[in-house]
Amino acid sequence: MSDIYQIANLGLVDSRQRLEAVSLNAASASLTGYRRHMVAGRTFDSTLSGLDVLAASSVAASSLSVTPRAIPQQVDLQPGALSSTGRSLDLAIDADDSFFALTDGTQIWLTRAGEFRLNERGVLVGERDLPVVGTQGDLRLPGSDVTVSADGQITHRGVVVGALQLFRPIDRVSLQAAAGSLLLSPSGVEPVEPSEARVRSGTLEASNTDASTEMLSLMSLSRQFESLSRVLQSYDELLGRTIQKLGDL
Amino acid sequence: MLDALYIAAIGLQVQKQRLDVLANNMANVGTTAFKRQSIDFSGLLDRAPLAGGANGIGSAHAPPNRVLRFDSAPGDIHQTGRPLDVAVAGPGFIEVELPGDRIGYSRAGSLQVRSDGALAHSSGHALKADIQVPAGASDVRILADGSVTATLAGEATPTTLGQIELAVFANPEALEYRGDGIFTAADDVELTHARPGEDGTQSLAVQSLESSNIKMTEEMVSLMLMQRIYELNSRVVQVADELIGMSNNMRRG
Repeated sequence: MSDIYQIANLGLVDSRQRLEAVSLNAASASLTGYRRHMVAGRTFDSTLSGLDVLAASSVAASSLSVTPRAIPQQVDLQPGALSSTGRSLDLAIDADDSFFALTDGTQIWLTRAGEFRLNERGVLVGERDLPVVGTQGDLRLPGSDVTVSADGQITHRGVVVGALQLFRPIDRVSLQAAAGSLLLSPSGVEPVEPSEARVRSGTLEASNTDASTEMLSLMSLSRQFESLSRVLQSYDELLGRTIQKLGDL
Repeated sequence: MLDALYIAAIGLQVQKQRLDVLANNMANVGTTAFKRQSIDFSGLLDRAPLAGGANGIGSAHAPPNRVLRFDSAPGDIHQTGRPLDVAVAGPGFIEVELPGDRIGYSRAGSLQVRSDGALAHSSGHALKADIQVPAGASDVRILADGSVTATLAGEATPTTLGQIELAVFANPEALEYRGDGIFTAADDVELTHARPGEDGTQSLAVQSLESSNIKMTEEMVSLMLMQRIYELNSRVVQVADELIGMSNNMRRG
């Protein structure tokens, strides 16, 4: 009989997670290269069948308090708007499917945020001071007065000093948000040929958070939450009255 | 739901800080050689420890939450006609002596002769080139190659008093701004000295000053965006609050 409670609860958890995604997107709306989070909608069927499996086991009731990460978070890979900054180390990628790569030596993060600068050792770094991956490892540049060509070659006073290596995730759909504008590709990455790279110097890609989408999602999730809490309330009332009536007998 | 509330509150804070920086930029549109500032807040929403324990991003050298950056793009150079005004065209900074034997770097070349005769930056700090203008000297001039000349009392031809050199950084964005148009550098930063016009530097623009590199239209556009993003975040706060209220009222009676 508590099924209705659990179904309504799943819906409430779902809207809570959607709210969290919206709040992350809104807070990061001005973060360069940010990709908005989406809570992947589960079909009602899969939610219910999950419920059945769980209900069959004796620990069902307790495990229904769904953990926040149970619903997969996906990232929206729509490109953001490009704005020109005129700074030569502000880079944007024209092709939708390629990414810059940042690494701390053990792991590779993909990002579209090309707001690069030199650190104190002259190494080209991106977000959180993580080194940018070049064709030959870290990119050590003699100065910040460089030009970057469309295929990612970096030239300092007429001399080629390195080249950016762009990557593409093997499976775009499985990309996960790591932190800030950084993304992780659990399926691995493959390098993009320099001839296919389309880097634009002096340009930055904005966050792809879209105010109207977020507002719509806010409206729908708050109504969903409201109606589900009504369901819970009326069901609770119904149960209460049933128990009362049974007591009268 | 409390999470969403906090995240949106941080979102509001970020926009407020960006607004502070933007207001500072706007207030300095007329400041000589002012460089546009911006903040990097990409780490602000991180929760420690970061995603997936071992995958913690740069946990050892995590940058502070809020980093102030500046845009080193040159500003326009305009003529003023004042003999002690110089503008640095192209890369390079004029070195200034700060208290405590530190050296500051500035592109604001509105120089002055102090009461003790030293040629100084507009903030009152003497130039590192240590140029003394003797009492009674007239017609102090700075030439395009950085040499400073003056006609001494009782003489007819100008005498060279000293030479202003430029400090050129491979990476000027690593400098730190300390106000008054003066930047400071970390001790181990690479820099080369050059006379203006040599080693890839350009000659000084005499009797001119460099404007700030702030573009009003860009600032206005980002001001508008900021306001809208602030609004969006405050809506999220409202909705989160409503939802919390609803769940608190779910049990009546």
